[in-house]
Amino acid sequence: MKKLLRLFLLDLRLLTKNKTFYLKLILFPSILILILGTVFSDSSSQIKSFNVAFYNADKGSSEGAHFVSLGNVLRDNVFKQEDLKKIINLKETTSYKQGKQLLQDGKAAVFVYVPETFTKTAMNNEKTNIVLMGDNDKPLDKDVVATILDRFNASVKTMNVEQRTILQTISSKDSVPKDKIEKVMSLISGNKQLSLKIPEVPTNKAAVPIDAMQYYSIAMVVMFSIMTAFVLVHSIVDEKQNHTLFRIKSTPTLNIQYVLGKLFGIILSVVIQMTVVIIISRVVFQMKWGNPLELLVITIVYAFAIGSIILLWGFIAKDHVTVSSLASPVLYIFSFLGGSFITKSGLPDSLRVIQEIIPNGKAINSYLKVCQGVGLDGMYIDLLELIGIGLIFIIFNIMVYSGKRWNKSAIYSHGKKPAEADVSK
Amino acid sequence: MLELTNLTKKYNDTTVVNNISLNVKRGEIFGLLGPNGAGKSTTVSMISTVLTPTSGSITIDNKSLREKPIEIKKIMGIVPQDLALYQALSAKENLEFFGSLYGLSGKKLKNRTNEVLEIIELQDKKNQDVAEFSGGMKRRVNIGVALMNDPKLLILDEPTVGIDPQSRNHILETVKKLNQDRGMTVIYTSHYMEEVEYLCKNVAIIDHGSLIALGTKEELKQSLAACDTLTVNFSEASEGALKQLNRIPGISKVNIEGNQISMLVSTNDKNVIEIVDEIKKLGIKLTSFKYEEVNLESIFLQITGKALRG
Repeated sequence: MKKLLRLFLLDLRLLTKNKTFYLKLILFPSILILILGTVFSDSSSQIKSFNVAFYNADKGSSEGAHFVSLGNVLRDNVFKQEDLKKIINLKETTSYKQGKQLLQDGKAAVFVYVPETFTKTAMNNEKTNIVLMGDNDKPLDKDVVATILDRFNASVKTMNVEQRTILQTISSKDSVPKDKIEKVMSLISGNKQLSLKIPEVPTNKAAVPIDAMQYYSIAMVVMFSIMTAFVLVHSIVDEKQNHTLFRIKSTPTLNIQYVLGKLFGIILSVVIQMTVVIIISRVVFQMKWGNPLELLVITIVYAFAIGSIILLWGFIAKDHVTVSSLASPVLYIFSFLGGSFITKSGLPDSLRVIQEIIPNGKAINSYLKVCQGVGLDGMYIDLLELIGIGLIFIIFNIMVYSGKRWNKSAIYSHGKKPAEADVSK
Repeated sequence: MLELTNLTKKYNDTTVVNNISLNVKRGEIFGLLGPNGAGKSTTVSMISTVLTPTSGSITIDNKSLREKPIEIKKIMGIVPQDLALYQALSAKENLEFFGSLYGLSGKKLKNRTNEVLEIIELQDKKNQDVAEFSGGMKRRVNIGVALMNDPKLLILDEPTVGIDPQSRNHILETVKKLNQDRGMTVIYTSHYMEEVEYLCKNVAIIDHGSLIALGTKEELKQSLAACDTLTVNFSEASEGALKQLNRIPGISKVNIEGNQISMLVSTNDKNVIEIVDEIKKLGIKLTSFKYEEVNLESIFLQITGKALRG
């Protein structure tokens, strides 16, 4: 165990003596987080609660003894529903003019006007005409309300078709009593089914919504951890070229100790990198990351998986150029598929499946769950799968390292220095 | 201490080490001589377990290397031909790191590091990065690392390549002292004859992967009826005259390179001056000549027909 500790501390010590470490692995992610923080802390790109002026002039429609007002439904069951209350502060006005004034004064981001004939036109399956006005400086708020109204209109149309169909069916049967017809009408017009949900709100009741800053901070950290692993993998090539690997192999060090020592070096470096980025984003932007212990568990498990995959390339590669040639494609392809460039929801369905399979995709999903406060219970399968991936690749690593017939020229260069430059430095 | 039996290493169809068998006694300094590419480093790599022999066996301290590699590695110190050090770490950090791989820790590791720094005489530079060291100092650290586990068997593979005479002397003295004071068994590979002559009693000569001579220096000289070496420089000589050199009694293994002729001479019947006169009589105009008594260089020349440092 002490030997293992020495091996991975060696990598860390060598890494900290390398200026690239501070530049690539600490400074770059930190700068990126600072940029992301500056961009996403801008109010126009973040959904915060906003005021909506609402004037309901709808006079409704009477269907027998039952009175229906879709304007009231929109107000009471849509805008005032619990989920939307967190985002929308509804300010009812007594006139169209008053609503417009609130908008002009900047006291409301959006003004919604429901006209007198709204219910009647909707019931007659004619074109409805809710008026929506928005502050041009707050396009996101306007879009949110527009989406809600679109969904509401669609639901009203569906309800209308259902109602007509059922009424036609009932009226064709003379034996149906009038009170029963009214009851059915009442049920159809019942507004429970008209309540809307914003798609971004997580289905888990305890979950907290994620903002763009949180998402991209996580995505960037996960992406940079791949780069960290590649930088550390260069140390294996260094050891081949400076003959220290020959020396290590001639000491009573087991192959598994060497492989795990290298892997633990990667894990520790990724944890350090992650910690620095979390601290910076927390201190500078008050970003909420969730439970630190859960974050640590995910980081270790993820670094274990991604580290063991990239480590294999280090054992196979003959020189630094070979390592570097794979680093960029792997970094960009994995990052794209894992959701570091485009959010998971923005990926097509086929790629979303891949996102859920690859280690960095799993890591992003797990970090998001921690930020949402879901807890480890909601991600244990992902974590177990990451551990599984790591274990499989450790076996491959040991096989390659043990079975490697080291090229004689790599062991003895007879005083000749390697011709290539060390690109990791 | 070390026994190689029919040791062979092949890369595809190329045989790098061919059926080598030898025995190194406990407490001796054993010389392994051969030119570059002779197979010395491959042999050392197999003893170090870095390379697996194609066939044959290696026994160290009565244990089979194939069966008990970890136990054997614990009592062995390897000084590779190329510097095997972390340049970004200090001498002390290098020693401590490799010492820890031998299971040393805490006070033991600290004490042993100080002892080794004393042996290699780098106490005052222990905290300096190896990258800042001279070639000789790096070589000393390279040896120091192999001493961290206080090995019973120390294998040095051309430890003095490319260093200044002062550092070279220091290394030779250190090796001799380790052998005399601590009874350390040493295998010393080199293509510098004088180093092997100075340090070793028993010598093996390898060329093209095969063992071509084995024994004490004296035994080699006697058994091979080895001769002294005469090297002459000339300004003018006809082709016919050069061809007749071999016919002069007492001269053998004539090797002509440019205006220099090296040859083995037997001084049993004639003295050197008489032999030089015979050469002049052939019409070869000599500008200088050098005579050396029998040594490993001449033995090597006699066996292989070529100079060791080629």
